[in-house]
Amino acid sequence: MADAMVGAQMDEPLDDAAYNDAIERAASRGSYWSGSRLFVALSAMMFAGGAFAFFYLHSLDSSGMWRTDGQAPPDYVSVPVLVLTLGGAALFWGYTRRLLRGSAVTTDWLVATGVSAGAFLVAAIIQFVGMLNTGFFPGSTGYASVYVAIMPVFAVYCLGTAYWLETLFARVLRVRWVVSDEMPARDSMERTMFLGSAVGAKAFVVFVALVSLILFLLFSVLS
Amino acid sequence: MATDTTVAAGVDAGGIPDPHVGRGVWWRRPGLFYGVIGAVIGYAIGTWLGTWLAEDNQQVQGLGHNDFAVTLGYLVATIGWLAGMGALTYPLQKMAGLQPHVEHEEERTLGRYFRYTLDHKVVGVQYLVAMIAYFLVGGLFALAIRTELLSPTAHLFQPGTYLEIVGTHGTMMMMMMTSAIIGPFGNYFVPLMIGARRMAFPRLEALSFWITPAAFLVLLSGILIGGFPSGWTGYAPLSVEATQGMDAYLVAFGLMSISMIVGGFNIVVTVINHRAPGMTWTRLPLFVWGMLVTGMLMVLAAPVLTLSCYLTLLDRTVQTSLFNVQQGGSPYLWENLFWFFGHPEVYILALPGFGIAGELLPVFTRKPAFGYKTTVAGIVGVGLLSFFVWQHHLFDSGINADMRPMVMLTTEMISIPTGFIFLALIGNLWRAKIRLTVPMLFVIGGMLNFLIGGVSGVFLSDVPTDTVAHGSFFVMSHFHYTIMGGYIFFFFAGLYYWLPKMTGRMLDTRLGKVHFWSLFVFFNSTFLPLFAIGELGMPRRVFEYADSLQALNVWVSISAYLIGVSMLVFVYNFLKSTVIDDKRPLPENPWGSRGLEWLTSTPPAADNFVRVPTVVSGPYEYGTGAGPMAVMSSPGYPRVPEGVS
Repeated sequence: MADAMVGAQMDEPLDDAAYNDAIERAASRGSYWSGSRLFVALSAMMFAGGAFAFFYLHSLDSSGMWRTDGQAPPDYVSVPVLVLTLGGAALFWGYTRRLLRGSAVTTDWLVATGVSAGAFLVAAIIQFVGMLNTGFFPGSTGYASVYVAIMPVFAVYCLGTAYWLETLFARVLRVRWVVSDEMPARDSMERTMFLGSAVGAKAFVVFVALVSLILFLLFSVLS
Repeated sequence: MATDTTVAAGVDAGGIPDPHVGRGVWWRRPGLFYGVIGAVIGYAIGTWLGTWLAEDNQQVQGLGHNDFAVTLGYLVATIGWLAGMGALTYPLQKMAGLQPHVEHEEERTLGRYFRYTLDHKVVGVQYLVAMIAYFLVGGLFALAIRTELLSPTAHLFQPGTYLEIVGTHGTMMMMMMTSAIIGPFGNYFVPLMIGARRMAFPRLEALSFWITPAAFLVLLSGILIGGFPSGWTGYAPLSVEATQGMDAYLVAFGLMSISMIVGGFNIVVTVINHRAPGMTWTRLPLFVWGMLVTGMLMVLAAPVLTLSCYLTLLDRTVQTSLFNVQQGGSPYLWENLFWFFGHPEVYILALPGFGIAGELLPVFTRKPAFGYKTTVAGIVGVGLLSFFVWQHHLFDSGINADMRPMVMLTTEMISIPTGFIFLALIGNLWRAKIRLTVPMLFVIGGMLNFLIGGVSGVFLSDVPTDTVAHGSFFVMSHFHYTIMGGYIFFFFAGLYYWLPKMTGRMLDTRLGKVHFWSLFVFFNSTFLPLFAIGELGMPRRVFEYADSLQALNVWVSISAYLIGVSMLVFVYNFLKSTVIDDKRPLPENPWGSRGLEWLTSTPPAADNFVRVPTVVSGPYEYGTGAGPMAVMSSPGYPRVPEGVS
């Protein structure tokens, strides 16, 4: 979108403010894109550290205490968390894809975003509450320790995702023109930042959903 | 649903003024005062919460100390500190759907240096002053160590106290000093050098700085609650079993890792997206390349440190057994996770220094940068390889013997890109008209020191040598040569070079030369004998040693005091030149540099450039007849250039 706007101005002399603004808008849009990817990368490194702990302690099996038979988190915690995060991510990803393709943004995107934010929030709450009743002592085994360490971090990520989606939701509620594709709304820094944030969130929810799936596989499926 | 496209209110619709900016009395906006109040209240709440949570905790009752209370006290105090500074205002406004104005702070008062400011130049100065303070405090601990080692048998401290001092010195230097170059110079100069009007995420930049005082104070406070016996590496199981001072270490290091992540993230995104038209990757200044790769290392390595500190805190509080062999854990888990951060950290400390050296050498040799692409390849190569060498820290402590040759090979391989950089830097001096200014002296001194540090590092990368020298003063001397001899010398080079731009004042040249020569001589006089002391068998972190080593140790201690005197010369020069004699006129570009940062006003305006410049040539075209590096504002460039998107 900003490309088209910049392209339209190629032949027109711009005063300093307009020139700076055009460049800043392009830079801001890129910043959200690369910033969100970089955030995914750094988060991946942290979860990779957790995965390393899982496999390292699993392979060492120190004192034969990696995991006792049947030790696993309750299904009434892990399954709903997985369903909510996958569902929330799919919903937001799909509707935001439509938004970025230029489809008119209407109530459906707003509802989808609100529901997705709610899903991640509920997933975080379930995970936090679930930590109070895991059915095993934190230090009973290596497996239990890794679970107790990693899952709250994941819950914080769910909470963060809910926050990010909520900021988009709240912004559109307050300033509806931000999602308009008409001029001069299309020409605003505000819109650039909003769309940049939406693009970033779209990538991030996919990452969180993927982490959710991997954690489910590690702690609930892998024996 | 109809969409409101009325933009009569422009981008301000739904927005409110940003409380961080604009004029007003100090007590009506967030700042240092409320930060301190927030920290005190936060500490009280956190401690109470921790005490309440641990009421029935058997481990707490058994040990007699409550790590819950200490940890939560520190963490909630930090949140209170940041809230009081205004760090949470923006996220809360975003939640309400508000969009604060992005205004620019035009006022140039002293007060802005004590606030959560969005101006990258103010953050740069905040970092500079803070880093110097942290460094000097860390240096005082070093002098305490050397005082203890004056005698092999007569003691100033108890053994435990000595270990606490060693650990606090090491942690202070390795933890706080990670940002000694990227903090002040990266934040201040990267936007200026790439032609940007601001950082990509100014609030994150401010956050990265304001976490550092919290980390510093938390670390220092550890001494008051028993210190930590583990040294800066915090090895398990000692770290799990130690008293409450260990919590200070873990919280402080964890906080600093977050600061590194946030700061590095901002630098990387800024360099990728905010380069001015014409600032291609092949025109990017070497300092910016150094900052970019350092930022990437911080972003990718520091999260593992955050996780490591968090895991240890869990073992100490909620009784997980991640590092407890009897319950399915392993102390080697810490060693792997810690060094996965810890070795890239070595390059987090080295690469910014190389960036400064690469930046300054062409200026003071007045010829194009020698081997620009080779240097860049070296910087990127070091960054990549730094993730594949961490296990050499485990040569002596449990690594599978079959793995050693592979890790030895990767460790030796990293000397290849480092050699690229070093040779290219030396190439700048070849047949050059060298100007031996104070910054240049520090660059040359840093290169000489780093050479010794680097070569001794190649020895240590070999398993046979490392198994002999491991844990001795030889290793200690090696890393001091690379970090203090390289990094800190390059830091001072940058400081003498860029301070005129930052403050409009130049450090006194005569005192600067006294500072350089005294530091160079006494640094070598301190650390060169330590190689011999290490070879003669003196281990690190032990405060009693053989009588036969006393003469060398006394020599080293006296030299260390003289380093302290050299630093006093610097502090005097700094204060004299910036605060006392602040009226001396200074040329806009005292070094005759082509760099983009010197093409704007001094000190730069709030937005850096009236008009985003168009870069038309490289930064190092000295003696080639090339015109200025960029067109700052010209009727010839009235349009958005092609390729801007």
